[in-house]
Amino acid sequence: MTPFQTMRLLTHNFLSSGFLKNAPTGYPLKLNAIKIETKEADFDEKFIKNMIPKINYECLKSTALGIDSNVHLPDALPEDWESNEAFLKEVHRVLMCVEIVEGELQCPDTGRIFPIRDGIPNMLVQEEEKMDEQPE
Amino acid sequence: MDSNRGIGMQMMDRKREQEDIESEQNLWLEDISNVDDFRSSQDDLIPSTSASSIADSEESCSSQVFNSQSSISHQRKIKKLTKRKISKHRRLGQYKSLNTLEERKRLRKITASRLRKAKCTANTVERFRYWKEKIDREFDPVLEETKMRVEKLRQENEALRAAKEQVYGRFESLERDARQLRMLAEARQATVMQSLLSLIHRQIEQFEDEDETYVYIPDEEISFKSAKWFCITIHSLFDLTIADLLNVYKERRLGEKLDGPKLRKRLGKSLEQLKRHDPSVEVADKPTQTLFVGNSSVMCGVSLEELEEIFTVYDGNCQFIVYPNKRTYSFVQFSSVEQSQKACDELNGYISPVLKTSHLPFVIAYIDNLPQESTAPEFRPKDLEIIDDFVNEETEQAILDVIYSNPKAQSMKHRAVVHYGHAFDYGSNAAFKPTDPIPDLFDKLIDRFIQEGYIKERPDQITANIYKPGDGIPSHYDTHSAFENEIISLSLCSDVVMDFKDGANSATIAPVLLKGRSLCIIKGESRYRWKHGIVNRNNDVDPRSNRVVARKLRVSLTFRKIRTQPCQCSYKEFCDWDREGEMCIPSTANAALKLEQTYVADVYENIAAHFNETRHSNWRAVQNFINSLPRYSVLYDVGCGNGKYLAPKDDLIKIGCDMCMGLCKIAAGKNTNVVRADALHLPFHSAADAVICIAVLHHMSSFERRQTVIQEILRVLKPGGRACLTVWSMDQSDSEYSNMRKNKEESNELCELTREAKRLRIHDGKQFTQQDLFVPWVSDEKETHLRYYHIFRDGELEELLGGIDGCQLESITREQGNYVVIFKKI
Repeated sequence: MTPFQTMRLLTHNFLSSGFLKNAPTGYPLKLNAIKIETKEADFDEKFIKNMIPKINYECLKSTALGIDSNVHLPDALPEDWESNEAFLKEVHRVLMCVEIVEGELQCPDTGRIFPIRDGIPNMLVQEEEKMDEQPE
Repeated sequence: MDSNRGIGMQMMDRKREQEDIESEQNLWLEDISNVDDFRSSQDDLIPSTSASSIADSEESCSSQVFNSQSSISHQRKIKKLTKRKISKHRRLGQYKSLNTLEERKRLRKITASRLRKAKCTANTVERFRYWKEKIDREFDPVLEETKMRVEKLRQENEALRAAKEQVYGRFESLERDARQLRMLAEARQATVMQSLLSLIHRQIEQFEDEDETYVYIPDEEISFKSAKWFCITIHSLFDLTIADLLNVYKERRLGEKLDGPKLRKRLGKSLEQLKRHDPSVEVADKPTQTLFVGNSSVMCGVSLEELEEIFTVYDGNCQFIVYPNKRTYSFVQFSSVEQSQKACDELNGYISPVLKTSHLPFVIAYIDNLPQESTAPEFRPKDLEIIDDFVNEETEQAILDVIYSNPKAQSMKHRAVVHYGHAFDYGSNAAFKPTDPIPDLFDKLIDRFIQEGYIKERPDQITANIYKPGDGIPSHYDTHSAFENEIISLSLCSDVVMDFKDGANSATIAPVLLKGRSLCIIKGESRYRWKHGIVNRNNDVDPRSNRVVARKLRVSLTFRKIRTQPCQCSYKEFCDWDREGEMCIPSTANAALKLEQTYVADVYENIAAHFNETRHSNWRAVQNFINSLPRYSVLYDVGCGNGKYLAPKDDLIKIGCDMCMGLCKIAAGKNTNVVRADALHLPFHSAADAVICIAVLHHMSSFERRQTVIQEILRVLKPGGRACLTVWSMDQSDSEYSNMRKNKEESNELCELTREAKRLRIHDGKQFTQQDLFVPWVSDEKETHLRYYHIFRDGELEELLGGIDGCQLESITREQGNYVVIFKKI
């Protein structure tokens, strides 16, 4: 079987259900993982270092802790994060190696559930669930 | 470094010099003490002698060490001074009774010591002056030079550092360029590949064999397993080009005749092909009536007319068996061995001047038997029925008599027509007005159709067509809503080949032989989806035997039943009735949603795997956009398809979404981040530096929905973030797609290029005839799927984006029949 990439926490970090009616932010989505796999991924220190400013650290930390109690991420981004190799490696592991195969995502505002099957979150909704008007 | 070392060396040299000077000075002091010894040994000598000897020794010493003019003159001065002092003392002695030896000794001693001291001082001064001068003379320029060199080195160093930085910068930019170029090259290569494939595909489509397909290149035959066209390389393209050049070269050889080993070699090659395709054919070792003629098919550029012109010289009644798009050879059957022998002798190896395009010699061999007729069922449209020998010759003649009795049949212009029951109106392609009654004989035929179960409804409209040899009828559908399902056509007199063309892909053609006195029942798929027509030409090739059949006068009788209710066929996309708006360009949000669900979402789920196989090359403008993004940008790919833009590792944080689960899985299989979502409600946090949305917007079936997609893209972008979006353009003049469709027929319906078009149509032609249509996708299982497209007019994207707040248009370019638009969130 070809390597099939299932949902990484990296993807989760960028997902939002803000398109729903009555969902002012829709972020971060609550993750309930049923089946988790840990995979190998090459540690690219430069990439991780450059990714940290792009992601929402708080979201990553709380989501990671929610699915795995062995996560060693401090509450806030350490001051020496750029040189703290142990920290960078942990971020790499959490972002790139932990994959959700089965589970669900839940809108923090409305409670709407989005299932994750075969590692692919299904964010499709019915027409009537969507925002009525686009923000102008 | 060199100059540094130089300085070091000089410093060393200087130090060594200093040491030399010191040692010389020591030597010199020694000399002085020697002088003292010498002098003390001559205590009793008169001062003048002593002084002169001192001076002499001093002089010799100094000259020995320095040989310096200035110091000599100085010494002379001192000598003079000393002499003067001595004489003064003498004089004093004379006057002051200095006669005691003691006193003289003491005086001489003092004088000597003073002299010695003075000399010593003078010499030292001289020494130092000398050294000062020497140092000034030698060291200063060196110092100056060193300073200059240090300065120069410093400058050089700085220049080097700058150069180094420049080189690093250049290297980085080169690296980036190289990356871009590599991607570009890959894209180009894929495009070249695609165009090559489409080029070959165009030819192959027409002469596809059961399992193998051959592209003919003069002298050579390249075989491709039909499933493995991918193995065709640029090399083959070269071969084709070279073959072209060879053909030009061969043009000069018209009228030449090959013989000897060259001819034998060519014949051998052709016979190998024969053996491969038609193993049942036995090559004879002595003359027979039938000839195998290599290099004589349409594939080699030899037309049937040319073949006839060349061979009928030997036998006016010779028969041709040809394979227009399948083989490079043909067979010619003569009435006698003598005729075939003459033809063989004269034409074997001959490049006939009759040939217009081909410049290849015929290679000829005698054969014992013709290939067996194919037993495989003919390729026919579904639901088509052919019944040979439906009427006997007697009935045939009786029917012809009835038809010819009508004065309209006498008109000998193009395709004489007689109608019975109801007149066929060629303006509306329907029939309403009653006309001449149906003759009894035809009524009896209708009774038989019903009795034998070919039709259920009794036809009430009959058309008799009289075709002269060479006449045909354009490809057409019998209007769905004008007539009921079953349409019967009875052929009389001549055989003819009718071509059925798939309405969703007019390159799919099924030639069907309609023999004289045969019945053809067109119903179901063959009626509703396939067009039928007869090509204007004098000969037909029997699709089973490949024998060339000359056409004679042909009469056909068509039986139809007029429809009174709207057509309810299940081929609604091909139907002229729009199903109360269902097949119209959607005007409500609900209709748009429904249309996209059926003709976009469901279709992609069905074709995902095949779609993936065909989507590799990247759009140049899109690739340039991606390459222009700063490293580690967050990029969302809206409608990522098979993930072709997500898969490459390029230091971007990429997340894709697609509505099609099949494609999501395929993309995820390429190690990418994908989510299943709708472009109309993007599931992303507003954190994107860039968004790409490739070939998605044209699947949205209303203006509002197209606008929503743009608004959604803007919503998920950070302020200042940029998006790149592509859509199909009405103008396909520069595209590969139009190239691929070159062999499709020109659309004969002249649809107006207006936005007023109401009905969705199936695209089947070179140019788009309206903006909203179905584009067929033929899967590898030969199933046709219709995808909905909204094709963009020139200026339409500007209109769309212009009406949206916070959207700043950066550029719109055209690439291969697509618009590529780049816009920015402000």
